[in-house]
This record gives sequence, C-alpha cells and structure tokens, in this order.
Amino acid sequence: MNRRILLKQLMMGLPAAALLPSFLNSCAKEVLLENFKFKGSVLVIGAGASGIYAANLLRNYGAQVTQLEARSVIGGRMLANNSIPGIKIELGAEEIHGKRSILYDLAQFNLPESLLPIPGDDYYFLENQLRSKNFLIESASLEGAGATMFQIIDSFASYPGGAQSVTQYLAEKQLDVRFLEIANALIGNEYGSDNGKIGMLALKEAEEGYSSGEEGQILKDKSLVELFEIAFQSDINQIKLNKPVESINYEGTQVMVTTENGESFTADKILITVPLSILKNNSITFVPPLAADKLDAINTIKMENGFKIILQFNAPFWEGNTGSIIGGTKVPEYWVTGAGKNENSNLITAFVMGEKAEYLSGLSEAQLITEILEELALIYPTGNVSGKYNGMNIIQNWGNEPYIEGAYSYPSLGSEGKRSILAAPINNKIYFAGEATNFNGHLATVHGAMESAYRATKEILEA
Amino acid sequence: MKKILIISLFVVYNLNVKSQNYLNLYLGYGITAPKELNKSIEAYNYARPWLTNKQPLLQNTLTLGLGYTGILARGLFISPEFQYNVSQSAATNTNFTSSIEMHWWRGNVNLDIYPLEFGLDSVGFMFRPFVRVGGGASAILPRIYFNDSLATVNDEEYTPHFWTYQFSSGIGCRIYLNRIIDIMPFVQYNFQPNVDVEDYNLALHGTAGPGLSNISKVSNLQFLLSVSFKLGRSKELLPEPTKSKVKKKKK
Repeated sequence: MNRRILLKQLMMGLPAAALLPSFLNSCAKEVLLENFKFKGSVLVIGAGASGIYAANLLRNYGAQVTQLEARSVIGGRMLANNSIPGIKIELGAEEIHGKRSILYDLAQFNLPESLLPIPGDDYYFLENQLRSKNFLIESASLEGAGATMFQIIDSFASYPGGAQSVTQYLAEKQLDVRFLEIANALIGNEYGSDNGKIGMLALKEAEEGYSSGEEGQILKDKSLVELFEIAFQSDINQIKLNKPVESINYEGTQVMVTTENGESFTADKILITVPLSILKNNSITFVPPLAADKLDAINTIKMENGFKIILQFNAPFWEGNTGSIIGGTKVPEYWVTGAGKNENSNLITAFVMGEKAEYLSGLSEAQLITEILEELALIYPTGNVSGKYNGMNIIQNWGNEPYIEGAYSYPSLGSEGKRSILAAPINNKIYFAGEATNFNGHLATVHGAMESAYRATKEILEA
Repeated sequence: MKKILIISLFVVYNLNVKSQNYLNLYLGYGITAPKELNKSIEAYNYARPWLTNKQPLLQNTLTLGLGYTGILARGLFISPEFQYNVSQSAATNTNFTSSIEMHWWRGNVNLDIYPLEFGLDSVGFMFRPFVRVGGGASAILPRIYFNDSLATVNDEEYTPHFWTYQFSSGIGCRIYLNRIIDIMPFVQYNFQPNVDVEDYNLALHGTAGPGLSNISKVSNLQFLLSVSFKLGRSKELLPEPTKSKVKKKKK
C-alpha cells in the first residue's frame, strides 16, 4: 500500500471513527434502571394509594419492604361503603381525574369494563334557580358575568399577579357577587378548602403542572380500593395493620421506628406516606427533629376537614341527566351518586370541604341531615325532598377519621414551592410520598399520590 | 405523498437532464438512540409494573428516501436528500395496547467525496467508494397510542410536530451496473443534538416526573441501499466507467 492509498483510506475512515464513540454511548440501554443499585431494607409507613404502590415498586427492584399501617384497613383516603346492594359508594377518593395518568392506566389494564366517564350534566344554583353552564355563559340577563367567571377559572395557570387569595383575586377582577358561591364550589371546595384560603400563586403552580385532563372517570361496579386489591394483592397481603408509628429515629446508620404499642422496626431507609395532617399534628416524633425548612413546608401547606354525606331517597326529585349541582351555600356541591352505576339507587352525595365542613362537623347527625334537606328543598322547591328522603344516610367525616384527620392538602396561601421541600429526602434515609408531596400539579389526587410514590421509590433505589 | 414524489421526480429530471447527475431512491434500516425519550419509556415501564409485556425502547427505524446527486468537481458531488424515517415501539398486553411512533421527515444537503478519484487522469471505476458529510433540518412527529386512541395532554390529542437540525456523515460506494443505473450501499450516521419533543413525557407517562426530560440528543445509524438513475452525463468531468484493463494473473 503506497502513501496515497493509505491517506485516502484514512480519509474515508476518519469521520466514522470520530462519530462512533458518541453513537455507541448514546445506544446505552436501560439508562434509568442502571442506577437502581439499592437492594437493602425499606420501611413503608402508610397503606394508602402511594404506600401500596410504592411497596410494589420497591419489591419489584429487589428491596426488602416492611409496610406498616396505623388503621385496621388499607386504602387510606380510598374507602368504599358496600352497604347498598348494587353500588359501591366511594366515601373518599372517587374520581379518576383525566385519561392520562398512572391511575387511569392501572384501571384500564385491570378493570377496563368498569371505567365510565362521569355521567350527567352540571347544574348551577344561581338566584334560587338551577341553570345550565350554557345559560350562565350566554344569558343576556347575566351580562357576561358567568362567562367572565369561567374565563377567570380557565386562566389560573397564567395568573400574572402576586400573593393573594382567590377571594381577593375575584374581587380584583370584579366578579359579580351572584357568582361567588359557585366560584367557591368550583375552586375552593374542589381544592379542599375555601376561596379565602387558596393562594393564587400556589393555585397557579398547581394549574400549570396539571396535565391529566378534565374528562373524569369513575369505576361503575368496583371501588378504587378494589382496584388496588386486584392490582397489588400480594403486597397488600404483607401489610402489617394496626401499627401506628409513634417515633422515627434516624440518628444511626439504620432508621428505627417505634409504634404506639411499643413494637420496633429497623431498616436502611424509610418511606413516609402518612397524610400531611399526621405530620402537622406531630403524631410522629422525629429524632433528630426535622429541619426548619421541612417544618415550615409542613405547616404552610394546609389540609382541612372534609365531608361526604350520602342520602338516599325513595324517588328522584332531580332531572334525569343531572350530574352535579353546584353553588349551594351550605353544601357547595351535590352529585347524583348512582348516575351510571345504579340509576335506581336514588342517592345524592353532599361534598363539603373547608370552613363549611367545619361548621357541619359541629352539628348533630340529625341537624346536619336537616340542613342538607333544607338546602335541597330550596334548590328543588317542588321536589318534595323531605317526603322522599327514606332516612338512609352515610356520613363520612374525614376530619374525625383516626390517623387521617382531614381530606386532602390544598394550595394554601404561601405554599407555592413548598411541596418539593416537603418531598425532599433527609440524609438518604427518610423519604416522603403521598398526595401532599406531589409538586407536579397533581396534588390531592390518587394519581398524584401514585406519582409521588414513583418519585420517592426512584430516589430510594438510586441512593 | 404520492404527489410530492411525482413532482420531485419531474423537477429533478427537468433541471438536470443535461448534466452529470443522479436521482437516488433508497430504503434502509436504522438504529436510533433517542436517549432521553427512551428514558421516559423506561420510566413508563417502571411506573407500570403490571404490564406483562413492557414497552420496548425506540430503536429500530425504517427509512425511505429520495435524493439527487450532482457533480461539483472531479470526485466531489453534492447530494441533497429527503428522507422519511419511522421508529416504532409497540406492546400488547391483555386489555391494553400501546404504541409509540416517531415519524422523522429529514431534509439534508450532503457533500459526497470520492477520494480515490482525486488526482487521477482516469476515473473509470466500477466500484467507487465515497465519504459523505452533510447537515439539514428535520420535522419530528411523535404519535402515542393507547388502545388505538391517540394519547392526550389535558384532553387534547397529542399530535404535535417539532423542528430540529442534524449533522450527518457516512461512507459508502457507488457500484456501476450499466449506463443508467448504479446501486449505492452506504452507512450514514445522523446526529441531532437538540430534539425538543414538548409534552412527550406528559403524553406517554402522564407526568413530567423527576429526572425526565423532553429534550434529547438523537443518534441514528442508517444502513441504506440506493438505486441511482443517471439523469445525464458530462464526459469531461466524469467519463463512463470502464473496466480495468489490467489483466488478471492466471493461476
């Protein structure tokens, strides 16, 4: 080979040789899973959506998991009542929010026939009359006030202002006062509180991140807990019930947990999935104490009381296509529980959060039912509401539920940016999951809780 | 697509019928490595342990292309090309099918260098190796299907398109068959340093998720076979290939 040929051949080979290393490097497979080195022991505290799902993910990748649940049942804020034949009544989480989420995929995989788009139309209680959304938007008598309200709600993600409450913002936008109750139902109550306590910046953060969609789904013949039991039966069988955690000591190389009944458990790492309220009320003692920024996040993100009251009637007094009734002064939102599930069940759910829930919790059961029936009678004056009430009711007061003590976290004033602080691991030993730790906009949802478990288990396995 | 192909053929033919040019039609197989996008698929699989059949990574790519080769100087050609590439990742599970498709429409302008022809009086090779360098722009159309329905982001079907740029290099050889047709096997490496597939994670995984990114470097190694049709010829620059006159030694 002479010099000329050699040079020519080199010239041909050089470009390929120069690019080959970067190509081979980029071809590396399983980039994510390659970093999952951890094979030690993990204590998972809590057996709600995030805890059950996290235990499953950790076991799949070789961790030895011990899961403790304070209550005698699994599911956390997923809780069903099966007392009425032919219908599963969700007393806690009910809706699968949107069609693009881990939870929706789980349901689609395990119970595809059960998935049902939330049926019925929404009606709004305005000036003592039930109105459709179209009426609110288009009616000349309302002079565009309804359309303005929906525009404001739809534009929270692009909110340009500073720190203030939703109530203050609505006043700034001069929302017609006739729409304040409806706005409170659609924003404050939906998020777990009241418009006066929802912070615009935290709300903007949540709305910006939210991506799952608005097309809500329900399970028509199963409950969400049953979905988890089907999907994660093996993990659920291993949960140790009635083990409320009293203290977590993470001073040593291992984490030691002591329960209220004096049992001790140790592990390399711990994943805490308890509701935010349990962290807020100091039910668990941390040794050493949590850092100031963590405590600040725990205190700033709020979680309040929440009610679901289900009433049964002998016959419906509502229109056949009714989904939700929005804008009550005592109960911000009612919905027809059996719609799509069991049309003959004649059930109405009253959904009350925040201050209104606090007020209701001070009433006796009889007073509470009376107040609700009175409001329903106001909404349906010709419906003979009291006459049709058959006396059956289920009252689920989440504020009184042991080891839960509230509904779900909400975007409270000043809580913007705090969820990622709440979620941050401590010393590669303590990890946090649960809906309150979701900082991607899916707070206060089951799929948000699952996403937080995905995030936390990834942190554990990569540590 | 059919119209575009017909018009392209017509234009190329009319512009170049009297010069030393080729029209190249090619197909090929490629290995694509969109690192961050595949990381999202891994995250999707990790977060869905119930899937019996996991979602495969995006890798195998099919290529169809149309190109033109025009002579600039002895041993130096310009080769604009237009490629359609498709990568697919599909998984079938009970009650649940999922498919990720990446459609890449790639336009490139390449310089083909035939190093063995430099400095030679005669360029009559039957077998001409070449080196290719080039670059261009691409349109990327990601499509994600679950149970044959397009994935959604906030209830809107995810049907975006994105633009990016790439650099290409390759080696190959042009093999003379007859006065009209050459064939050209070649290997081409394309590198896209900045592919931003906005909302890809949301559409696939349902969450932006920590450690996931929509922005990826994309490498693509293609094994291509081109059939080249000669559109015209210039005797001065590129004479008709001739067989070697050196007699083979008899054994």
